[in-house]
Formats: sequence, structure tokens, C-alpha cells
Amino acid sequence: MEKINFYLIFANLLDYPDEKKLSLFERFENIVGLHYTGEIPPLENLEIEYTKLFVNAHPYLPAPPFASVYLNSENLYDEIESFYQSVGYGIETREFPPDYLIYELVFLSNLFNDENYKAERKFLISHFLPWFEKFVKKVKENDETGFYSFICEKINIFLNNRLKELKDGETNLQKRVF
Amino acid sequence: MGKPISRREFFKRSLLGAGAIGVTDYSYVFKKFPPGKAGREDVELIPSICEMCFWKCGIIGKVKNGRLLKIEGNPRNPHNGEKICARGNSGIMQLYDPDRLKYPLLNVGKRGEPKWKRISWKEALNRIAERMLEYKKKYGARSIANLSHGSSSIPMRKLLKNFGTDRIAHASFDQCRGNRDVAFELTFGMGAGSPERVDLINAKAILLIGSHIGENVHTSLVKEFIEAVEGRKAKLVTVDPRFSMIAGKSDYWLPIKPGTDTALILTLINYIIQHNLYDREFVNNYTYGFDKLKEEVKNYTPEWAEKITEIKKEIIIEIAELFGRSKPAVTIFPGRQSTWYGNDTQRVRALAILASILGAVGRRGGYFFPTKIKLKGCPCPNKIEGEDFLCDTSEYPFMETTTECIREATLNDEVKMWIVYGSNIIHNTPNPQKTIKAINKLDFMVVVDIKPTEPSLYADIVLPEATYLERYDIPFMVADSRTPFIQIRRPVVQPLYESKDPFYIVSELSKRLGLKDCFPCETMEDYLNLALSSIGTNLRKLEKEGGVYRYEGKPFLDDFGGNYRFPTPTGKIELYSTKLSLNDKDPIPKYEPVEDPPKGWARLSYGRSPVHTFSRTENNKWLHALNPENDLWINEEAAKSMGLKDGEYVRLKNQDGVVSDPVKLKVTPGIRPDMVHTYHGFGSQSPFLRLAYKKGMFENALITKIVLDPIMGGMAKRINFVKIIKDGKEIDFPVIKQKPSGFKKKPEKEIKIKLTAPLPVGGHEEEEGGC
Repeated sequence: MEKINFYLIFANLLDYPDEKKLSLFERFENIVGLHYTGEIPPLENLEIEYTKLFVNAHPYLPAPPFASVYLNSENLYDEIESFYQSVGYGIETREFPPDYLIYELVFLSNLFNDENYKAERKFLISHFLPWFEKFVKKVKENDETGFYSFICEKINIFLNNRLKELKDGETNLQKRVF
Repeated sequence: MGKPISRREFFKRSLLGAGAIGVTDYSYVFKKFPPGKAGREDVELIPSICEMCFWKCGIIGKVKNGRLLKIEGNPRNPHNGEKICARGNSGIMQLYDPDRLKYPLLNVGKRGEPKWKRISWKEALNRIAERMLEYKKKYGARSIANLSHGSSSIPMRKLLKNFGTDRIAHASFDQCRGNRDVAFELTFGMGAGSPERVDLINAKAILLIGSHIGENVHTSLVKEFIEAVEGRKAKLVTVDPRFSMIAGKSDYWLPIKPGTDTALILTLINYIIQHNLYDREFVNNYTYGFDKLKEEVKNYTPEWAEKITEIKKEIIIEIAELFGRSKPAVTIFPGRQSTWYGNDTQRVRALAILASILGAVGRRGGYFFPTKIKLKGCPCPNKIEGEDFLCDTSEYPFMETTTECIREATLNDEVKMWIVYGSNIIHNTPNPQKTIKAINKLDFMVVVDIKPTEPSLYADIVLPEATYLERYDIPFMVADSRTPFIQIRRPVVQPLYESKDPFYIVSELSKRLGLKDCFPCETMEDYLNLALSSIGTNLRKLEKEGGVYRYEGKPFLDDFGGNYRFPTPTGKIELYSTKLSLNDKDPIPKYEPVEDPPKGWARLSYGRSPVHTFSRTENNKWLHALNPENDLWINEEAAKSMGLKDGEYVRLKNQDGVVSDPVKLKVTPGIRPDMVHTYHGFGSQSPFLRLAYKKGMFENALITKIVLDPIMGGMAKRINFVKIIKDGKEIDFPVIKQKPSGFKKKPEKEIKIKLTAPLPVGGHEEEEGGC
């Protein structure tokens, strides 16, 4: 089976759902080491829930997947892009603003593949985790299926542990792929 | 919604669907560079056209690495040049507004309280086309109607005409400037233009009736206005019941009684004729029906007008003489939003007649002529089915299809489907309650927009359109110019999310509808290249040259060797309108009184904020910061007697019992006591617009009474009356008798400023009226 780094699996599962992406769910459970105990909603329900949580919803959108919604910074786009550039990455597609959740996860997956743990740690601490925690809170408060709450909460716990690993710098920093 | 599925079933299905584990690797998102060297270092300068309003200023987008950093004016544009307004600067915040529509959405919930599901463009367009074909088969193509606003909706309108329906209304006709343009068509054989064709720079005197230039910001117009008034000292007369920003810059301010403007204009015409102040030679050569006009207006004397308009007769005479002295270099500004009191086409006809007897047409300082050239275009022929559909045209002879026609036809079950394109019909069409009633009768509604505005709450399918910074549009010929030109809107950045340009939407739909003869061009670039080949250029060449193609104009009578035939039935300016006469309407305007507010009530008036374009910009972060809510202008004396204070919040109640959201009072001597005034477009009812939602007062909800213009069916809006509600209690407006008035600017003295203390750091008092 193809080896994929966990950031990429997270990105797939937090992107708009389709059957291909959802097929990664079992691997996700392996990563976080927990089985999902709730009922797994049919794809159409997940599509509706995803739209409600992350795209557009009435009466308001609970959890926009963009860092700028949660962080108070005038120059956030510039700061993020400067970070990307400082480690050798430039955004090629402008479908989304640079603070889009999926882009940031893909960026982290690139750092992971490059074994640039210093940058990975810095990005998690200084930028990603501060807003992602707020985002997860919003998802948990609003998700009616429980499915996205589960994914987000486990990612949050996993990444906080990952941060500890990176801080300690001693443990298993070799490529962990699933 | 489906039932939950078992874990085993879930994995079985997902594996079957994918064939194998199918990870998206997102390798397209980033490109790798040596550290610190990522992406392009240079800033690209991309010329395009603004659409924060509809004035079409030339802009330059400064783009680095695919991201828009700043918008500036395009120095090659003969109109705005390097200057753009607050809205033009803030286009960047429309592009990057996190509340934008991002994907096609299907409403799987209720109308008004949608539950949305993201769907693909393919599915969205298939569903729309299926419905269109179904309704056409069952009820005919006219069961599908279109309500639209702005240039991006032009391809859709063409497609629908090709499909067979002419139930197509645009807000700019019946709720804005349709009556003005019909009045100009009837008089001169051509509309008033957009930009308005006024040679301000050469004017010696200017008349503004109800136009609040400066609060209504159109950059090149304001620029020329300032030069004319401040630089060249043209005398400015402003007629407005409110001390608007431009009233403050005027030589004369006439706080006219609302609804009596036509009385004032007809009196000016009469006085100018009676005192031989008109341009006799011009009238003889270029006008038709002068003697009939002279006879018709003879009773409109300054004494009579003083009683009607509450403007001093001495001031009326002084102004008539000023215009007579200054002729023909007099700009009688045609106005823009003109649907006021119900007989507005005749008011604008009176303005056109006033300009004509002063010889201020085709002459420097007055109106000038447009210069059009023919451009080829990718065809989409009209194939309207059966007889022309319109409302009762016998009653409104110069009506185009209006929103009101469509609303009525929908309530009568003749229309099953609406396509609402870039038009906030809840904010721009009076009586939104009736609009919602009509929507609820529909079988199907599609909304195309860039933001989730109110109509999208009621839509079955919502399509996300690319903003003006992400798309091509049809070529813009600015023929209404002394220095005419053609300019192209082009994408400054690639479209965000899954937003698409209008050409994509329409060409994909036309394929599904089997309409092969509509827009056979493959791409918008092909369309533009075809159009530009008519003037011997192409897209690439034009972009290299700064995006502007200039050509020679013939704006004045001199350019025709004094031999000009107006495109009217008589070939002359029709002071007496032959077309109106044939249609049993007054061929020469008459003064007809409009209803006064009953005792205890005040008239509700509205206008534009200098930093907003109706409800279109309320959610823009920067513009919202400058002007987050509207306030309500109320006369100082009236407020005092009502126990109201500046800055406090009250509600309004209209004559039909509609109560508004709270609105902040602006107590001022600068407004008559029989009216109140607010900025239009605030108080969004869409919770998706997080900044604009419920900020300020949704004044259109209070405009429930409508009178249609008897000539062209435009919807008059300034005929609604309100009372104040404070702490749940209704407060009557006092009756304050107005003496005839009219103000003249005192001669300017040289002002010497001596600083006695250092200037305070930070905020300063905002000038009245903003801007």
C-alpha cells in the first residue's frame, strides 16, 4: 500500500468529501489510534454537513476554514506567504487565499517530507495550532453528525503530541507514514 | 437525508467508489524553490476596469505572485486617470472577502432559511437547463424571467432572448434612471448617457436638482466638477431639500419643498422666455414646438412658484437671469436616480427643455453628443416567442419590461422560474415584502452573485460568479465622452474557489439548452478578439498598450459643420414631443402636485453614501470601517419639539405599518422639517454577510407604496411617509410652517489661519455629509 504522510491524510479528510477521500478514514483511525464509535453518515449527509460547517450556512457559517477568521493580524497573508517562501515554497494556485486550512496542511506535509522539522515545529507553534484550536472548538459546537468533530478533535490532539515530539527532539523523528 | 450506514458498509462503499485508496496529493498547490527565492519577485501591473460601481474607471492591478496587492487608477484612462475612489481602492477586499460565494450551492432546506449542499458546476447547470426546458415545454419560454443588474449579466440576457423570453428587467431602468433616459430620448432622440454627457469644464453656470454629487461619487465627474466650480468658478445652483455636501459648495442653495421641482423648472423656462433670455437663434434652428411651449408655460410665474416651491421669488429670478447671462455654457445636470414622485419623466423633460432654450445642447458648457463606432460581436440572435410581452403598454407607452411587470406576472402564475443575476432585488426593488411573496410562488429560482446576498437565501440554486478582478467582460465602449475610448476588463488574478465568469455560465448553459447559435465563440478571448478586430487591434496588443483604445469624438455641433439632425421624428429637439402627443400624454410638461405627508408624518428620502454602492459594498471590510451604518437626518427644530437627541437610536414606522430596525439620529438644521433622509443599501438581512448583517436601517422595507411613472412605468419611491418610534411609543412630526427661502453664498473672504497651539494628534471631526 502506498505510504502517505499523516498531514496529507488530514488534508484529504478535511477537504470536501467524496468517496475517494473518505476511503482514507480507516488509515486516519490508525494514525490517531482510536476507532470512531458514532454512526458514519452517508456521503450526501456529509456533503450537507461540510457545506454547513465550512462553505455557507444559514444563519451563519460556524467554522470557516481560514486562519484569518481566527487570528487578528493585519498582514496575515503576507506573513504566511513569507513563511512559505522562507523555506522554499511558493503558492502555485490561487484558488484559495494562502491561509486556507488545506493549503496549510499541505505545506506541513511538504515540510514533513523534507524532514525540515525545525520549520514544521515553528509553523505549528507560531501559526497553525493557535488558530486550529479555535477552529476545532467551532466545529465541535456545530457539527450535527459528530463525524467532523471526531476528525478535528483527534487531529488537534495528535498535532499537539507531535509538537511535543518535535520539542523533545529525541524521539522518533524519522518519517512516520501510514 | 439518507440513513446512517454501517461501518463495514461505509468502507466497502468507499473502496468500491474509489477503486482503490485514492489520496489527493495536492502537489499542484506549492512549487519548490531555493529557500527565500520562491515565486516571482516582480510586481506585475495589469490594466483592467473597476466595477465597485458602474462608472467603469480604468484601473491597474498590482499583482505579485498571483496575489493582488493594490489597485490604482490607470493613467491611460482619459476619464479617471490616476484617480480612483474609496470603493475603487477597496476592490481588493471584495476579492478577498471571506463571505464570498465559493461553490455552486443547492438548497436542500426551506426558502428563506436555506440548508445548502455544495454541488458541482456540471450538476448545477444540468439542473438549471432541465428546469428551463421543462417550463418552456409546459408553459412557454416566457414562464422564465430574469432580473439583473450590471454588465456581467448582459450575456445571460442575450441567452434568454435567444431562448425565447423577453421577461427581462434591469434595476437600472425602472428603479433608477429609466425615466431620465426616456425623457432625453423623447426630447433629443438619445438618452442622457452614462457617464452623463455634460461639458462641466466649460460651464459658466450649473444647475443640480436633487443630485448629490460628492456623496454620489463618480470619480471623473467629481474631478471635473471640482475643477469647474473651485478652479474655474462656474456658478453652482443646488436645489435640494437637504443641505447636501454639494449644497455646501454652491453659490445658491434652494431647499425646495419635496415634489415641486417641476414647478420651479417650468417657472425658470417661462421667465427665460418672457424676458428674452433664451437663445433665439438656436431655438429657431434646432428645436420644435417653441410657440406651443411659450403658451403652455406662461402662467408659471415666480410669484406662483414661490407659493408652491417655498423658494423666494427673488432667488428664482436671480437664477433665471444667471442662466440667461451664462447661456449657452450652462450645464443643466440630467440627474441619475430619478424615480422620485411618480411623474418623473416629465420633470426630466422640463430639465431637457430648459437646457434646450438656453442653447446648451451640443455646445461647450452644455450637453455634448456621444460618438459610437461599430464593433463586431459573437452573435446571439433574439428569438422571442410570439407577440411582444410587456405590461399594459397602453397605459405606459414607453415602458420596458420592469421588475413590477415580472412580479405581477409571477403572482398571476404566468412565471415559474426566475434567474436573478447580480441584482439584489430585496434591496433595490420597492416593497420587498411583495417581492418575497412573488418568490414564494415560483417553482424554481436561480441566483448568480458574488456574495450570499438576500436573494440567495430564497434561491434553489446559487451560482458563484467571478468578481470583476477575476474575469473578462464584453468590451466597454465609452462613447459618452468628449474623448471616446474602448477599454477591456480582464482578469487581474485567477478566479478564487470555484467562481466562474459569465461567459462560462452562459456558454455551458447554451450547450445544454441546444442553442448553438448563441455565442458560438469558444472563449471570451475569442469574443474580444473578434470585437477588437473591428478597430484593427487584438487583446494582446491592446493589453500591451495599457488596455485603452482611443478614437476621435464628435461631441459638439461645430463638429458637424452646424448641420446636425437630431434623431427624433421631427429631426429637431422636441420641446413639444410628437411621440407623447401620439400616445395621449402631455406633449409639454405640466406641474402636477404630489401628495404631501399627512399631519404627524414626514416624507422618507434616501440617497447614496460616498463610500458605498448601494447594498453591494456593505460587507467590504475597508468600506464598512469607513461607514458601517446609515443614520437618519432629521430637522433640528422638529427633533427638539419631539424630544429627540442627536446620536440616539429610534425606529421608523411607515404608512403601511412596517417598522424598521433601529437607526441613529443625525439632528441637523440642514434638512427641511417635513422629511427625513438616510443612505440607501444598509441593514442587510443576510446573516451570511457577517459585517453588513443588520448594520443600520434597511430603508427599502419602508418603501411599500409605489406609484408608476405614467410614461415609462418607473417606480417612484419618495412618496412614503414615516413616524418615529422611541421606547415603543409613536411620536408625531410637528407641523412647522416654512417661510419661502433660498440661500446665496456670501462673497469669500481670505481666511488666515494662525496656529496658537499644536494640532491635536489623531481623530478629527468629520465634515458634515461625509466624503
